[in-house]
Amino acid sequence: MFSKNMAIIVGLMILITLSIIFLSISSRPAHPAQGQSRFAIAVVAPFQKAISATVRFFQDVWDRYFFLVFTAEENAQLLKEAQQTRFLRHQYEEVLQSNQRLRRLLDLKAKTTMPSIAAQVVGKDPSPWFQSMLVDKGLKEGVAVGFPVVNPEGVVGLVVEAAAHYAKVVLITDPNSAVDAIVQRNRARGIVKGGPSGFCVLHFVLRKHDLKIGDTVVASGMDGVFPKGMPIGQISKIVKQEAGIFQDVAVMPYVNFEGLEEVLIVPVQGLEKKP
Amino acid sequence: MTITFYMLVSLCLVLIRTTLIPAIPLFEKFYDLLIPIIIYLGFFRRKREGIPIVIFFGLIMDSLCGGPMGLYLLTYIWLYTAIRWLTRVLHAGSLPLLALAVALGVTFEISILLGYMAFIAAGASIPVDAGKTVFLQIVWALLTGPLIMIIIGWFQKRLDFWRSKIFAD
Repeated sequence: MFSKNMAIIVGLMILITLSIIFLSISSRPAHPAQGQSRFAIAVVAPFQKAISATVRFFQDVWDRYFFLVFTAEENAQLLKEAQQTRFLRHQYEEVLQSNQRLRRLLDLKAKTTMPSIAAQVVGKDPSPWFQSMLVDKGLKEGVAVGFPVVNPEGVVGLVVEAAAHYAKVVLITDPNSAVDAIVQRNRARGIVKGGPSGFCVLHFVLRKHDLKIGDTVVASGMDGVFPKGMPIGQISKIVKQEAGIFQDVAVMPYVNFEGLEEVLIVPVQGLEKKP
Repeated sequence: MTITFYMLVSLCLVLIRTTLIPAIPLFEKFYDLLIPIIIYLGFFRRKREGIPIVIFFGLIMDSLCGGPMGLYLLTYIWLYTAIRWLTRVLHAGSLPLLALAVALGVTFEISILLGYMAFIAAGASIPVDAGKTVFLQIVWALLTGPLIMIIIGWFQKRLDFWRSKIFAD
């Protein structure tokens, strides 16, 4: 009834359809960490850790002994900055004290903060199309899926998979990530998603909001994951289309993802999981 | 023994891709280094050696990558199947043909990844700078892909030589 070629074509069509269905199902978010993923991370991550440590050692040698020429110049600059910082610190102290007085006055309880977990980056994503990394802390150190990852510069990403001693973190620059955010100056709300070339895009900001290039975007805390007020980046481009209720906003993250070596994983109450 | 050899080589390439290459400024858009291995296995090795490597490293890459589970596994299986089918109609031995095969393999992988990002991923879209990444990956593949395959071929010959010597003794 069917020729051999016809059967091959039909077979191929079925296999392609099955592949698409499989990818559609597996791309759905919030599926729990799978056994084979943990196994793969446990196999590869220790080697990555060893190689990363070796690379860091040689980088340190280079920075300490061969780069001293630039250090004197940098030192002068830092001394100047330290003077400015001292002045700002006095101002900050004043604001802090008045803030504390007002908090007491309003009877606000300070939010209990849990200690964060410091981790080192051991490996980056093998594909330039996705943005993730492996860190050297996992379930046994108290890390669980869903914990936010930050560093002193701002929001880094989210733990999406955790093995015994390692975890996979999807960065905020990944197309699949999303952070509920607000613009610090005027509290305009939106969702920060991964964009091209290390940039992020602030989606769903209403046209009526007056945004400016250089405005700081911070986590709103509304998603219950990222700490409220944690800096994400600054607005680098604003496009208001002729039609539509939203404006297109590009955000340049504060975190330098290419040079990222250490991060802090912030435990979230209710997400902790025993190994 | 051959499977162990390819396991170790593939693991080394994954480690290089995830630890050393991201630290080098010009190489951040480098292509998937396992593609030359899969093409080599498809062209020159038997199915019982190729299939376990393809499946194992498909799963490893899926676990290390930020994409959905199965994306690399399916890509590698399709690529390996296509190469096996090609071996029926052509004999891969020349350098330009190997370079072309790696470049086509990289293009095939990019097509699947971009297809996923454009049509399947929820809310995702093709990055604006995708063209630049695609161009750089294909250029890198053309320049370095055949070299990787030649090095693997050389090691494979040494391995075969030592194995025949051990069993002859």
